[in-house]
Amino acid sequence: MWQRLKTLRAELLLALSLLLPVLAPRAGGLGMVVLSGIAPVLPAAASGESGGDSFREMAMRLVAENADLRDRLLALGEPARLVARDAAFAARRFARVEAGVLARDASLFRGSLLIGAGIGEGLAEGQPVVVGEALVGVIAEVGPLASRVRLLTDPGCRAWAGIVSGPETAEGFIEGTGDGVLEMRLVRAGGGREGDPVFTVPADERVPRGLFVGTVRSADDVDRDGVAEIVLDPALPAARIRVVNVLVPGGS
Amino acid sequence: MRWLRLLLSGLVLVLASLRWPEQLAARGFTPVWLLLPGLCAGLASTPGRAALTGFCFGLLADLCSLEPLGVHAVAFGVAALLLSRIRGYFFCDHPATQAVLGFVLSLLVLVALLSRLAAAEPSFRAASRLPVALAAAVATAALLPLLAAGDRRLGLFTDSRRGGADVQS
Repeated sequence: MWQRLKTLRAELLLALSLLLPVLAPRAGGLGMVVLSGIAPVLPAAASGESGGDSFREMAMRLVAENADLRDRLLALGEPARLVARDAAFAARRFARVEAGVLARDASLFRGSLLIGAGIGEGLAEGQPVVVGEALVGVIAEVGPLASRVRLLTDPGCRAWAGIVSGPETAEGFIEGTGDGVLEMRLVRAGGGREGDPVFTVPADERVPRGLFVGTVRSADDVDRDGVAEIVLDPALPAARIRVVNVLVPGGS
Repeated sequence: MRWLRLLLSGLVLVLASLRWPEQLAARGFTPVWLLLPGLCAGLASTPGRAALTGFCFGLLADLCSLEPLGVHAVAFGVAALLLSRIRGYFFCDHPATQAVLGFVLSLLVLVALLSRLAAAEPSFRAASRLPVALAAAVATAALLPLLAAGDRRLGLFTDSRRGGADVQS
């Protein structure tokens, strides 16, 4: 019996390790400490990949992305511009912490970014992460020198938002699907049309209202139950995100 | 010295999986870097050592991802253990056999990870990610014979350089 158990000890240990996700469901703290340890190595890899990025080049790229987003916003019409103006007032309550993207998620099916700012810069879980005035994710884990951003497109990401369609705003919550688009739920049928802009709404005090989330790709009520099935394109694809701003409380 | 080599190779694999270009990863043209050591150990080590190698590199993958601790660890450990148990039935010294086994096992691991995520997150579109998983399994399978040959020479993930003491199944 004992000999039999000895030959199967690898199987027994693996079976016991199935308890690990139950006993320690989030390894965020430990993971971020480990990743903070290798964070100083990562920016060098980043500059190697993009051919020697300096802060000046990163800032110029950020300005270009801002201009691109502003142009897209202007093309959306008067109601959307009013929301954006409100957002500018709301965003004054927040200070911006700029951070470069160090790495992507090691999993093929999750959407997250490792950024080069941590506890020392005042980052905390749940804070919104933006590029220009576009929301791209929220802080999921914070470490001493690095933090992990859960992108809006990650399957575990949820946030409240509103579709600005003409003079009306239809609110609902958005979820990531894991394949680069977002789904919006709990919106009444006819609450949004293709091309309508989507902004954050005042549901979470950590997230200012009026941040640009994306645009409606399709809006149907296939099952005729009065609730629309809405698919959104995010404001920025994950591959284009190089530098982000984290909105932390304490602006002017 | 072996521990130093193991540590350095682990760091290289972690950096490879974290810094792999997003454009390639989105299309699945990315090997599952941290699964490769477990599969290498599965081809040449005892079941216990193979499972331990797969488990430890899986833990590293968990720390570099949003997944809960232990998900990759268990999946990679089981894949390495399975390979070490079944390799006696195949001619595993041939690169083609190694590639086929690598493809089957990495696809099993990726489908298991997809299924877990689909069960945990209802909004996750698992079906649309299957082609990505398939392409990633092909990339992993293509790299496995190369890494296994390097491992035989350097003894990174197995003790195969120590007179073949570790090559008994």
